[in-house]
Amino acid sequence: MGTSPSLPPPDRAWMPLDTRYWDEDAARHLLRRLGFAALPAATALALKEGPALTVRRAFGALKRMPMPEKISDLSEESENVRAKLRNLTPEERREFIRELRQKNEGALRDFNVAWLAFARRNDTAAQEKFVMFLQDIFVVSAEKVKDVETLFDYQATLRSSLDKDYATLVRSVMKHPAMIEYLDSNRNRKGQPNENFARELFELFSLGEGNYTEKDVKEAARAMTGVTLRQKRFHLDPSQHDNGEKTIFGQKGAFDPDGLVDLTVRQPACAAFAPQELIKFYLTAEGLPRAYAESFGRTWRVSGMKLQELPRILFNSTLFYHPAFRGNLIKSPVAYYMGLCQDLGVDTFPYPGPLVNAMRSMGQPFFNPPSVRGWIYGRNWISSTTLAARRAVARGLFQVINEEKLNADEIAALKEARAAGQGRPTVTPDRLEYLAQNRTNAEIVQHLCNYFLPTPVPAAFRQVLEGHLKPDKNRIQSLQEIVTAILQAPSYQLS
Amino acid sequence: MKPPFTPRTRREFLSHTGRGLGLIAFAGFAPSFLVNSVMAEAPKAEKDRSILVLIQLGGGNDGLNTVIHHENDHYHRLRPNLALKTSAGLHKVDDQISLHPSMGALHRLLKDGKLSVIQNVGYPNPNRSHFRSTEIWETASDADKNTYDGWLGRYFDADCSGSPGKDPLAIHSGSNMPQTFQAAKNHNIFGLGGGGGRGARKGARSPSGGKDETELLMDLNESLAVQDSASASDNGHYLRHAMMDALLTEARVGEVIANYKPSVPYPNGGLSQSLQRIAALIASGMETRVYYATLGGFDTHANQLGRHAQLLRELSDSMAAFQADLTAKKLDRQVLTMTFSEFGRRPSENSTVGTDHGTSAPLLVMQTGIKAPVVGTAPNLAIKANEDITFTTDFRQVYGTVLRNFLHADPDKILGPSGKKDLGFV
Repeated sequence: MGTSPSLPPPDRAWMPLDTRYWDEDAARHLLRRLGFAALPAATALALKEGPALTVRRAFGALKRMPMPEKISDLSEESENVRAKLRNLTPEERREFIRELRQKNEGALRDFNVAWLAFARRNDTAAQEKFVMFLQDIFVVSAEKVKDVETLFDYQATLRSSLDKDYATLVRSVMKHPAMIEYLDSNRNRKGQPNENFARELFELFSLGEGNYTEKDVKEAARAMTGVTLRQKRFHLDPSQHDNGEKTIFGQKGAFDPDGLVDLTVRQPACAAFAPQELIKFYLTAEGLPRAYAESFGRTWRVSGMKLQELPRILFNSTLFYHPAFRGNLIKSPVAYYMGLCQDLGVDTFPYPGPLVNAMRSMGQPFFNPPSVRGWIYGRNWISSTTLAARRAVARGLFQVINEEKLNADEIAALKEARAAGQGRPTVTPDRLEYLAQNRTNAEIVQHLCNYFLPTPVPAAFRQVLEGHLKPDKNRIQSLQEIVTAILQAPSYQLS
Repeated sequence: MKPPFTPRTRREFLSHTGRGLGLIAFAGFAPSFLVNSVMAEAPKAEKDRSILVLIQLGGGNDGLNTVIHHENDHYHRLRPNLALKTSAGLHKVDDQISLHPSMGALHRLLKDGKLSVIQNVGYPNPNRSHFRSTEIWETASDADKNTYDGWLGRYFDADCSGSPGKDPLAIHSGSNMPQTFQAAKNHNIFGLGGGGGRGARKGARSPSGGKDETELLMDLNESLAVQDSASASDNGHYLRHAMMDALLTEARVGEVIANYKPSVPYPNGGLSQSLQRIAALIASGMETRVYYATLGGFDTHANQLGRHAQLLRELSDSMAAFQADLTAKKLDRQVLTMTFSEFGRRPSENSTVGTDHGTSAPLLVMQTGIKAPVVGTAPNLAIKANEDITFTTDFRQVYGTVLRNFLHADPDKILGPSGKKDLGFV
């Protein structure tokens, strides 16, 4: 990153980009941030169509994720658990519960595999990256919410909010069994309020620190009393609900949970909250002065606070294309792996073993954030440990799968994936041979750097790679080694 | 003015590391006077170097059920179901306070003069958000001020930039760096955890007969140095620095941990494993000044009794094993171990036999030769249901005491006036 012109002021930052500045670099910048990669065909199309149409095309109509089989099997099995348990001896009961827990753990791994495969698709990448964004605001954790069907349904709820407004989203999150369980909303009774949900509603979902008082939290907890789950659904128990008058944000009223959400979303700070998070997720993890989010929020409020307006405003804006933001965002572990798959044209692994471990060691285990605040993006992803894990993932994508070492489930999954045309999770040598044909070392290296890296690299970088390429029988192997090194290098960690 | 010397190649880097100039120089942020003074006088290997080990109790530890005011009627009034009675096996410290039944091992250390309880530690205008309060503890800022750098990060900036060695300045057990270590300058901070097994093996070749992966990556890393900008927001620069540090350190750390023979058995559990690794690194003579380990799960909103007992047992047994191991290796006087948590919990129990987020709580400090078993004053529990206790010792005085008396640093410039009072426990 060299010296950049200063940022446009907040009131002009979100105005649409002047088309004069729309070029190939801008298109690649957009595609990498919108999804996970900027492939040549998509770049060419985007260059022709411009940012507005590219964003609209990337999201398209809502695409639902099919439920993985293991989850639907489990959901039948876990029906009427109580009735089933009643007829069992204590010994059998323990065994039943142990088995159910293990099946849930297995189903969560399958969910992880299925989601990565879904998000890797070129037509869903932008949508699923946005789901990740929402999931990092409205955090729930599989550590606490063990029922995988509930987690799957929760993610589906976030996904389908894309064509809704923010108040609707917050309401459906508040009423979702996953959130009720995660933040103990069902442990909140009249006279003995539990403040967990009320506090996070203000701090993490809608307003941010400094925009509410401790008294607001206490009163909001009263509005949330009586929330229970009845057959896995939200239910407000009138006998436990405190229907007295509360004073929240200086307004008096007999607020109930819906009323609380409506009141909260109407607060001026709420319109700047999601934009602030959006800026940190998509633009710069270091954040920008609050005036930028506030200015964004004014535009967003006018357009009815629809979720789909968030990426529309951001990715069409002057600010997004500013040189200060090019190639300077550290990829999350998910973005890193998804980028590898798309850039290398490989499928995600069809079985959990390598994936679940890779995501954990890179620091982003599926539905398992470090805390209710979610993951902190940016430099927090980077440590000696996580860099070692990223290197291992890149290296692993060039290793031939030894099918003799796979277990029966893995072989079945691989066969199924192959039958569906998605059975190539690693790079095979023929792909590299194609790359090496009729090209000089300098041409190969130039091509690879342009293709993979978001910003130009110095000549010395290319010389190191060229010097590593061997002739004759070692050519393909040495080519594999330099591609691996590029994918491990600091520059490829950036988007 | 002559520009500061900042090595760009690994050769420069390593050759100066050998003379005592460490990884910090790679950052390009080291002021020239530091670099020059270091080159003139390499730091001696300090056998008596003081080493701080922090244990974060994540989630907000219930202080009132850790250090129990067994004689206090208010304690029993506020907690009809959760209050622990003497008959439950409390470990008496004195007439007024006891340690939790799970904390027998730490109680023995206290009786042996190796453990100190600092009572009722907190800060003005307490914040009950996990994140904000953790941030306050990690940055030692006032509750109404946002500070980015951690309190130990500021210590590194102020006192450790002149003596960079080949070893990491600070090591943490998880994969994410705690904000406590966040600093304005770049320091060599290293994360333990699962990875790091693969290291630079001298002279190893790749399958194609070229440089092996680590070597090749180091070369690429060096070649990117010409793009370094002075801008603090340059993430490429940040990544290059982090990767070079990691490549050089991981092999060495992995070897030390793999070859370690603890002098006592350690119990099972993540904290115990972290402390054993830390003991290995300390025993190997690493010049690391600060270690950071975490035990999570203290956010006990519901059914707290069993879970809390389990957590305190893990804490107590792990800390005691660590101390015994250090003692056997005669390192127990130069290592000080201290716990902290983002807040204590509400004195009144809630309706689900748990406790909600509260304010102040006791801290534990462990070192052979610690000066007092109990420091500070007890909280006033004569409060109404659902009220919070008011702290009597500011946490920055604890940090200040450690910085001044143990790390021999000047706490004033790191903590400001709130850290002035010397608590004298060390």
